[in-house]
Amino acid sequence: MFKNILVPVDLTDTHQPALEIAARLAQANDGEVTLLHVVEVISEVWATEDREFYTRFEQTARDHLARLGHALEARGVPRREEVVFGHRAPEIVRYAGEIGVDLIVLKSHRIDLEHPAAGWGTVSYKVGILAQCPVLLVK
Amino acid sequence: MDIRHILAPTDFSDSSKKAISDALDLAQTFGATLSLLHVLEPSPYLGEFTLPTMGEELLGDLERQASTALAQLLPEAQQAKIEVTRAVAIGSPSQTIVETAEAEHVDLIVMATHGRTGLSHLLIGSVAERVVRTAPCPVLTIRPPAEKA
Repeated sequence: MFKNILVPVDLTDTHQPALEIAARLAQANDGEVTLLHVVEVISEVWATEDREFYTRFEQTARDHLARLGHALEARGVPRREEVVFGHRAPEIVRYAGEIGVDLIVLKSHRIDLEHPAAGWGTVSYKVGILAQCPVLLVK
Repeated sequence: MDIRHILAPTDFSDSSKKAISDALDLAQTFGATLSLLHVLEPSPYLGEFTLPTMGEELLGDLERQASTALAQLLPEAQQAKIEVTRAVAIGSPSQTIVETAEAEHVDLIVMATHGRTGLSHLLIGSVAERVVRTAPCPVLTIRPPAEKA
């Protein structure tokens, strides 16, 4: 049912539960996992004015995705790794639509009911609302 | 992480039927138990404009109808050898779903983004939105096919 699975990640090591469930779904469906990192850009003219600055981030991200990718490969899960530039939530949604993913899996957290507004700005919340495909938020 | 228990709330809308079908597929994938839940929300008007016993009688009727409808969902589960439990609860849908997930140590909630009360022009229905924000476990939201661009 879910063959083409997108797992957006940042550069932390907190994605294990999301990767675990994505790997198991991919294994069960002969599917593939795409690891995506969005390098958040500050300026809209980053490509012309700050390319070198962002290239360093890109390399760091590619190294991180490669490490995560090797863990998937060790489990026999086909994977690919992508680094894109932009604003995280819209880029994740755009990329998911562009390659036609069946499912987005990303980490999330439970909202503190005493401070409910604190969760509205999170990437996972925005993706959960805006994505046109099923979204699995792993807490 | 192990997915041993999946909760699939349903309001019997077409979009929730798609979600519980996906939940059954996932239960097969993970070898999990699937719990179907329908939450009846008491109308605030019951009791205000009716005799006190009418509200209870009406809720009782609705509960029986919901139980019958739940029993008819997912006939294919038996063939798939998936253990399916079915329950009707009364209360606020989002709160009841989250409380059920907590009480029954649910590992995954699968639900439609829009049910009967979800206005189609909203990006996500209010019940799904609250469950996503407050659930103690992973939540998979399923968008109805007609919603796709």
